[in-house]
Amino acid sequence: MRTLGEGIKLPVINGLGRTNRVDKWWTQPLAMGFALTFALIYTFWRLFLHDTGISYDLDGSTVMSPIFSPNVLEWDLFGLSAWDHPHWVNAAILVLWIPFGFRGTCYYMRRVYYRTFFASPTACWVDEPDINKKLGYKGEKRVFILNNLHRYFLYAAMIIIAIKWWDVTHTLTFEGGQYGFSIGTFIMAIEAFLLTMYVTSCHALRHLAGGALDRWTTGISKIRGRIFDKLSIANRSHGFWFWTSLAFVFVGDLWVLAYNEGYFTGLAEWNLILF
Amino acid sequence: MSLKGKIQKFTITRGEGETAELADYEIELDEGMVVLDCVHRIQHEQEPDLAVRWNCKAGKCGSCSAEINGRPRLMCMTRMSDVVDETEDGKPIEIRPMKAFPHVKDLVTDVSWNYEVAQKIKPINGPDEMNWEFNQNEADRVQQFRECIECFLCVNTCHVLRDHSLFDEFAGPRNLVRLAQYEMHPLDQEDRIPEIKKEFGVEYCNITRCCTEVCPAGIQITDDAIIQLKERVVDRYYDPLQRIWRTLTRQKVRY
Repeated sequence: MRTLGEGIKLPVINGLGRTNRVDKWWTQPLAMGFALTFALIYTFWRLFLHDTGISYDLDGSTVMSPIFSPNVLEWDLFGLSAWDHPHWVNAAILVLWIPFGFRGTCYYMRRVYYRTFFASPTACWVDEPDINKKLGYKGEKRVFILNNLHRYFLYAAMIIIAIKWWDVTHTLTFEGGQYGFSIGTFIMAIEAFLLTMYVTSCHALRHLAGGALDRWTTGISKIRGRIFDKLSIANRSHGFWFWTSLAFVFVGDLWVLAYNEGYFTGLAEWNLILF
Repeated sequence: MSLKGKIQKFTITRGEGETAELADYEIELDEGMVVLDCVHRIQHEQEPDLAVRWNCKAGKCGSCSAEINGRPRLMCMTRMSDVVDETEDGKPIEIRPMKAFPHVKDLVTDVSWNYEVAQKIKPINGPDEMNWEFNQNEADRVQQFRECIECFLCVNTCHVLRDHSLFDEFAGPRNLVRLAQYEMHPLDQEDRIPEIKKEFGVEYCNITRCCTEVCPAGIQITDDAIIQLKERVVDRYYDPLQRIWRTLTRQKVRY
């Protein structure tokens, strides 16, 4: 077959950032690049340089920082609570590979990082840097073949979400078996809700729930078809849930950190006992 | 602001292939024009030999694809009021042919590669008896893909083809939509997954979503076609649990 790439070519401009676009195409990749870089640096700082002040107690209720929740080092499971761990090990180091892997292989995240960090391409109709062409484009092969593990990270992320909601219940129980809530309850519940929506709108979940089938007519497949339809609605705004849930992880962590540093104590200690 | 009587500058690709150059024009606008109307006015009043492909003027035939101010669009569906707004005052509106395809003349490109790829796709293989029945939601899913008007703006936009010219390795978004349409058909019995992975190169797509951004028919190319095909490829090749399950249940599939 005739190779189209060898056809008559137009005299076009090539090279990084070269485009005929007239709009401010670089604003979105730039903003997203800054946001992700900040998230990475902040997480690194919290994990390795400043892993104190990860939770606070309020009359028996516990508010955990989202980065360090679930605090597996308090668990008896696998003998973790008894484990004489090295001083640099904390709960986040043991667990954070799951959300990292899930977000890193996410179909929305892939759009963002190929654009912002690999300039492949930086924006639509904007040419790629010459080095990309010299290295030869292989798509999602080579190291990016790992993106195909997304569904396994999804399974792990679903377990984490269940534990996140369980952690929310820890903010509801106060001393003497009383139930109530504080500002920390809202922060953790909003974070758990956003993460739940982010996982629910996942492309791999949508595929596994019903997308893998061609027919949704009988028995279980009928139910799977209905689930597929519902998940498809959530899936449309996967990017929105990605960013809001990511942002709230840091909002939650900053809230807990701020309390431990002595800020907003009045507001954080306000609570309402219901019964 | 009314556009009637406004004098607008244009710069349009003229010539063939390597020797093509941008030429400047100036016309008086009328209210309610689209870009294709302006090209026709230039053709009528100044340049009778300006080559432009068009047919329905209603966004249904997919003929008048071009790059207006660097953004691939259908000329007949792009309002002049929008283009004038986005163009800096006094600057011309730039109209170029699609970059990814071989140039023929002026605004015309040769898109026949897409048809050659399409011929390699195995057609739908349904039951012999033609009283095919399926549910509305099963039909809706593949119906979306039939909205395609074959304007090939998505193919022109895709960086795999536009920047890397991998025309022999990758089928392009339009034909991946066709593959999704056949593969997800409720009564189709054909298996195209090995071809989708190898011959049509779905793994070359890195989901930057430009094809979806540019689709004038509003097809969710990335979410509903390509990602679903990618997930089916994962089912077949990259999911160890599913492989074990297929072995245990003695399901025979091609690799």
